[in-house]
Amino acid sequence: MVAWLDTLIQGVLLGGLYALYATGLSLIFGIMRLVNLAHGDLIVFGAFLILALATALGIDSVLAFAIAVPIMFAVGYALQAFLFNRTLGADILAPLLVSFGLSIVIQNGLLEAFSADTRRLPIGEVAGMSLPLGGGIAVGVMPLLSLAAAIVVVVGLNQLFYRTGLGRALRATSDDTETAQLMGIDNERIYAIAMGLAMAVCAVAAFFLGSRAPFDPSIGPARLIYAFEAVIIGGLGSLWGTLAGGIVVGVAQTIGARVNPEWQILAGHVAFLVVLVLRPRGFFPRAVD
Amino acid sequence: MSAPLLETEDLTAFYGDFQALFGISLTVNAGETVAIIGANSAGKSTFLKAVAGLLPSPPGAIRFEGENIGGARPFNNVGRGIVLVPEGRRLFPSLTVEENLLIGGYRRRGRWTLSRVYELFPILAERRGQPAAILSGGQQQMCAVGRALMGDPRLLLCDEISLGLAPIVIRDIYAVLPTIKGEGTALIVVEQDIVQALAVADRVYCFQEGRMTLTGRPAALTREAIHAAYFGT
Repeated sequence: MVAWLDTLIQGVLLGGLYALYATGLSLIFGIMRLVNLAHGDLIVFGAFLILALATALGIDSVLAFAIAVPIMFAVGYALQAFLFNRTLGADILAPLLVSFGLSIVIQNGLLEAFSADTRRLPIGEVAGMSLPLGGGIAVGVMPLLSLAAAIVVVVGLNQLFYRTGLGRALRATSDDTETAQLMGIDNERIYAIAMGLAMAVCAVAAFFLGSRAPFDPSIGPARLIYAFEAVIIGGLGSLWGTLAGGIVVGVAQTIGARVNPEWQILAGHVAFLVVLVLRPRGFFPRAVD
Repeated sequence: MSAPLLETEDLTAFYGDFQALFGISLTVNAGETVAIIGANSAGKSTFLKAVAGLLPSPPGAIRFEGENIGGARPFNNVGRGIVLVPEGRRLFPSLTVEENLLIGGYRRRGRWTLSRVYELFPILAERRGQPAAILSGGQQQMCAVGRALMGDPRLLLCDEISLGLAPIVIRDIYAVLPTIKGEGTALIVVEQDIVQALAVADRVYCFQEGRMTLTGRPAALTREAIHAAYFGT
């Protein structure tokens, strides 16, 4: 019984990391209906950026992460302003293909710059620290922090969306781009801000990805799949749903691994398919689409 | 004599290969209410979309206060004070009534505040926290007009604001137009309902199949002339 409880807790914590992967994807889809196939690679890019900043400047990974967040925002803003905005229109295939191409470019660029070697973000002793909960159950500090970070990100984004003028403009543009322009909103600038925000969240995901497990330039697409599953399970366009979706994937994976270590990844995909069959619009779909 | 607030000259507009407007030339002066009447597909809404910047227009075909605004993006025109109340209201369904109103003032604010809009449409104050999607048709139209006012329009473009509404609701909405005009705002009112349009307009233009077929002051137009311009018979 304790072992299953432990499995559940570890799954929820893993779900926090998956929710971080997924939040940026959910945000971009919710606002501009763009499925960014390069999302996983952009998270890996963020991890290498933090590593490169820490190495080049000789600073702590946490400080490098703090510097990487605004840089990633700028990267996202520029990507949208100079690349994706040129592809948006009635045809959804063009941005999808561009994001697929971007994924290949990022993977090969990272291979060229950093080689195929696996890396890890050095964060010192905290990487191995855990908190005993009693009854033989302990939770790792970093997994706990990644879940906390996911909650902070979702709360923060919801505050932005529902309490600020920029948030209203983001939601209005998501509802009806043409009418938003008639209200004085520059939709392309709003899209660029949204992509900037998504990339800033990717930096957070990248920090926890790189500090919890080894990474290399090829692991982006798998992160994309976990993120995609979390978004679909949670319901398109809902950030709290995305958090819940991440936790569902995480719990399914740890339960699968508990039954048989080889079933970890498979169990996550099966949970996704089951939800897709039973609730095609996910747990918390947007009321208006 | 100062330049008209809005002037179009040989304005054409296309949807793909289909030409919807053929050389429309008209003027709207500051503080004036102009009605554009015509049957379905006459090009009335297309004209408003072109002025608002939703449709491309030839260079030099649209001037606002003497400035060429042909090809300007819609959000830049809002900055100039050209605000459209779109056909079908097109409120933002996931935003509350108050959020819809506030979005109207995203780029430009001025004479119209939330409290003044609520004074104009008291029902909106009662429903300010509710999603705009659940309002009745008339309340949605009030919200759409209020949202446009929040952008402090100098030229308000009203596209079929009576469409699909009960007569009593139409009367209530048209009753606020003199107040809006009283603020010095010019209006272009596009309507199929000729009686409503003639009642509020200083001047009338009639469109038929993308061409202007009649212009004049309402009192000077005969029923026969309007009928001929409207239906082409």
